Amino acid sequence: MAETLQEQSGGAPRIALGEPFPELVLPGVEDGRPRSISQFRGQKLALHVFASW
Amino acid sequence: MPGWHESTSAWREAGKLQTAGIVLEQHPDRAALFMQWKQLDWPLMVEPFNLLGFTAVPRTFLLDEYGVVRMIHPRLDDLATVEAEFIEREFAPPAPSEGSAAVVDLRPEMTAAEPTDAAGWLARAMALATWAGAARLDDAMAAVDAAIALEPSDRAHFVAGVIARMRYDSDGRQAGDFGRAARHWATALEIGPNNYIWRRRLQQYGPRLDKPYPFYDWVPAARAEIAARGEVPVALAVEPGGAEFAEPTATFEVATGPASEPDAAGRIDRDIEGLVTVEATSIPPTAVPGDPLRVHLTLRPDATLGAHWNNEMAPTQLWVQAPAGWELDRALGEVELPPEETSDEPRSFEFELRAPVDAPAGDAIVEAYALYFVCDDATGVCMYRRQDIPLTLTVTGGTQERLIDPHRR
Repeated sequence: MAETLQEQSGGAPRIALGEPFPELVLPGVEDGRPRSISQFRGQKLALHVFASW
Repeated sequence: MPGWHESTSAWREAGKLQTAGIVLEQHPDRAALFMQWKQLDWPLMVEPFNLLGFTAVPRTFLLDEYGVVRMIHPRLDDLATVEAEFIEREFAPPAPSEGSAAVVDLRPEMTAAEPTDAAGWLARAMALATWAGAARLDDAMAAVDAAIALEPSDRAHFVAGVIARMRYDSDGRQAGDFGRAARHWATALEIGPNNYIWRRRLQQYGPRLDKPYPFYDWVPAARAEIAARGEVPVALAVEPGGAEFAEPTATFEVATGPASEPDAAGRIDRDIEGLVTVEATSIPPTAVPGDPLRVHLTLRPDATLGAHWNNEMAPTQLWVQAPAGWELDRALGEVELPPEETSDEPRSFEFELRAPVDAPAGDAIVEAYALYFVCDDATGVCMYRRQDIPLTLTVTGGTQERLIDPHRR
């Protein structure tokens, strides 16, 4: 059983060690154009999830 | 996170690591200002709805070349382990049997067939609000209302609050949108009291006694440092308001000193033409005996009547009279006048009240009035007017989820 992120509420795509990170498509902050997690494939990635509040 | 950025710069420069971010924020320009301030130049995506269901942030994930999660919450004080077990390690591509990544792309939901369940309506609401801009916020609100009607989950209420606040901050604002947002966020917290992202949203606008920190106090410092570097700070479409700057406090700070009531005899003519509209919102939306709440009150000249402020006279004022037994942090508020002779910007006041511990359940009336100079384009006349603003606060029987952590009082 993979180690999962405990701080997730039910119903969301799970995040777990050894499993692909969910393929999110979201607006870029600067221009609002679509960006996806997959565009970073091919190189190791540090992905920070944070808030500015 | 800036610390992580600095500590891993050598790996980035060597082409061994790239960095990206997802910011849980409904004001993308505030995130852009933060990035500019900290000189973080990596790609950042904005995510206002917490699609991945985080109950706490910040969180960092290390993904290999194939997008597979290899480390969660790597320790900044143990970069040697990160280097050995992630940076320098070779990972094999995942086998097809290991499954593919869950796809979270809301864009098709905007044009999909009409949803038939709560999840579908919620996805449509978030899609419209995320990708269709302010013009579709009414549709987004209707969609999330449909989701809540089918399944009133904490997540749906949180999303409804975000959309209502988005619309409040837009030109398509509808009366009561901020209050609508507050009620949805409070309901989300009642259903999911352990999700601190739900709690933080109320705390952002709520009373000082419940604030864990001042939310956007970094904005002035950021602007100053950016300007000192010779750059132009990212402009903010919605300036953070008083509650978003307010410092936490350990005790309720009652107004001290005799404030002079500006129209005690009630002699100033009332604004019977309704040249100025008023919107009042309480955070939390209902009062709990013994707990504080923060009232946001915004005055706007009614553009449909050709009304605007006259700024050549005295400041706009708000006088508040607390109900018997209630505490009040300030009785008299003033908004400084802009330098222009006339203007039509919204003018906001915030004050805090605390219900007595023995406050009975039911409605309590806070008497308040505003005094302002307003002009009417139709007649060309500028007038000093008073508007009485009785505010009805509902005191609960104490069964709701409390915003205030009881250990702090």
